[in-house]
Amino acid sequence: MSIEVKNVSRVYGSFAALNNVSLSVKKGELIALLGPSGSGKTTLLRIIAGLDWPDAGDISLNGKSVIGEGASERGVGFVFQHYALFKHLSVFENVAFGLRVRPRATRPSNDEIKDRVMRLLKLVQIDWLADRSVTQLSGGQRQRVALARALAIEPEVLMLDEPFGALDAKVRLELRRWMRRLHEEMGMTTIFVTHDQEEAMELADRVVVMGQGKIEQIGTPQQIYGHPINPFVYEFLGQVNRLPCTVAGGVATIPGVAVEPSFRVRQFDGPGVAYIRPHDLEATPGKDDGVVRVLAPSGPTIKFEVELKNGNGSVEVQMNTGRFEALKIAPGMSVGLIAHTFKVFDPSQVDGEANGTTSSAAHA
Amino acid sequence: MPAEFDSFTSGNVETRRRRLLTEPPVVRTTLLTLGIGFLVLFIGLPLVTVFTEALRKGWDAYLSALHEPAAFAAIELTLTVAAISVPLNMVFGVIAAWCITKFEFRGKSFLITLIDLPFSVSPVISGLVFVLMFGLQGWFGHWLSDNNIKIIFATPGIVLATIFVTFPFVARELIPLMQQQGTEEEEAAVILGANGWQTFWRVTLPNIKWALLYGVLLCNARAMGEFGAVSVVSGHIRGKTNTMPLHTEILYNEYNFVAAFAVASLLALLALVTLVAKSILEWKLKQAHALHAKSIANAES
Repeated sequence: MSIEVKNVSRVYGSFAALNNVSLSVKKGELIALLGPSGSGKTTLLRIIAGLDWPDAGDISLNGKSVIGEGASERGVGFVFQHYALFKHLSVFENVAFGLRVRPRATRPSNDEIKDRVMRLLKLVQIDWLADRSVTQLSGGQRQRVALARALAIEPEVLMLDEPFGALDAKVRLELRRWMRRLHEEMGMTTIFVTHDQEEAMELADRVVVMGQGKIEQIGTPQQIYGHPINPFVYEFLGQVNRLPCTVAGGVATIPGVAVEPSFRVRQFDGPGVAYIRPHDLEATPGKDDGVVRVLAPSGPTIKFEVELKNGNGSVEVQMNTGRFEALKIAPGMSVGLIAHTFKVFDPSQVDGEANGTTSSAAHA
Repeated sequence: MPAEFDSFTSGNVETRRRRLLTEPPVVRTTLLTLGIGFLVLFIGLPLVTVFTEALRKGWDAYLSALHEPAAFAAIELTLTVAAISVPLNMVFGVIAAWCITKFEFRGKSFLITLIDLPFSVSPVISGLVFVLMFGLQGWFGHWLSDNNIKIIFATPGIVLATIFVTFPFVARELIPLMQQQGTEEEEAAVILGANGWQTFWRVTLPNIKWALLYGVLLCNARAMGEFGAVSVVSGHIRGKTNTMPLHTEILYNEYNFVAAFAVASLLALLALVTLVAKSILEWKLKQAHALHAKSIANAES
């Protein structure tokens, strides 16, 4: 099912949860709505599903406006953040619910319902739990019941609100992979909401980055990560060092940090703020730009802080562990810094100070 | 050293802890005696008195007092009034709680206060309000008497007063529970294609059934036992507009103690049955609450 969101706005009291948002989703796509809390991503999902109503704008499913239709008529599958399972019903009856409430004319027979529910429970790998009460299940099992229940009405689009948010890290990873496979098998248009950039990047065909009720950027994970169009997206997608710089004729000068000679900054001139990812910085012994302070080894790469001598705070550097060891860098050592690639934004676009502080709006 | 250490860790620990956490025996005994004594004096004794007074002249006198036509009429009227007002208040209460907890609208807190009004107003005033509205000198009095409709000093007035007085019980019981449960399950039902009625019947009602029964039980106890409001609107017509509490008072004022206490004993029995049912429901309710808490905790683990 294709989805068209046109100029949708939603205001709660004086708070604009969505501000003129437009989005189009192709049939069979897997879309992530990514953003910090309060960015309007859940509101957008609920409006598409029909659980909330826009103050302005239009929603079309398969090219037909559904703005006048309630949630029960839109036929979408929805998985709630806390699953919202029916506590008084068994696993089986939870999944069967959407079939049992159909009008008599379209309601499947009891045997058919049984067949379909058991097939779905097998699909989500919990058919052995069919007779349990849902209150006896673990978080991961509940998630699967919620998914099976949403799929039971054979929706053309599946929506998930923070589907992995309430699970512990290991179950989360497992379910994520499994959901990706499921999507590939069933080919259903899927939209999910998340605040976890890693989750969005790993799962989605396209990522919609949202901030303060607006869509900041839409693109494939590669586009979003490689070419963030503004400081917000840049910061939300991972750790970043912000340093003041000046650009003249495409050549950037960053006080305290050397710039790869062949690197050119396009479409910018004058004073700006350089956004440098930790892994795009490299430390070299024998120079005196800053002092190595804190080390945090993490497998194949190592992260450390370098305090700049010029008083612009400290920057975070991430290097290949092998290279790091070959250079024999140690805490307290003076090093030089070189930036391989970065992006420069106008200072007026940047909130907060541009003084070397490592920002981590999203979790690393 | 080892000996001292032993005395520290052995069986004494339990005793020591108990000594640290509770009051000395003297204080405990005094408090317990006071508490139990108070209960016996103010609640136990009156209850026993009701039954001993009722049976003072033996079972035959007791039974014949209840077989008397006026007593019979009072029992019948009380049951009729409860049979009308309790189901109505159950429906009103569920609707009110549903509106308040599942929707956002202006004037919501005003509505909640309004629901509580019958609790904060003296029952006599509640009765008077209906006399002022439907009595002969009241707003609708002329129209009613012209059309030959009797409300005050008749069963409809008693039913109205009872509905008014017992309105809050069901809603008050349901609102906190429904607020705690939120609207997510209802949303899930709707998105799975359920209509409003199916959502209520298959999702909301099963979640609130114990609280609803609890409210209905309290509502019923009050409906049968209400005195003040009913007294004002009834007119005390023997065999016609006397409910059991009113009938008891009349008999008592006529020094017909055995009969008065016989009717009162029925009301006391009703109270006892209510108490037992209430305890069972409270236990069930606690389970429902625990279930909800557990399901939240599990979902987040």
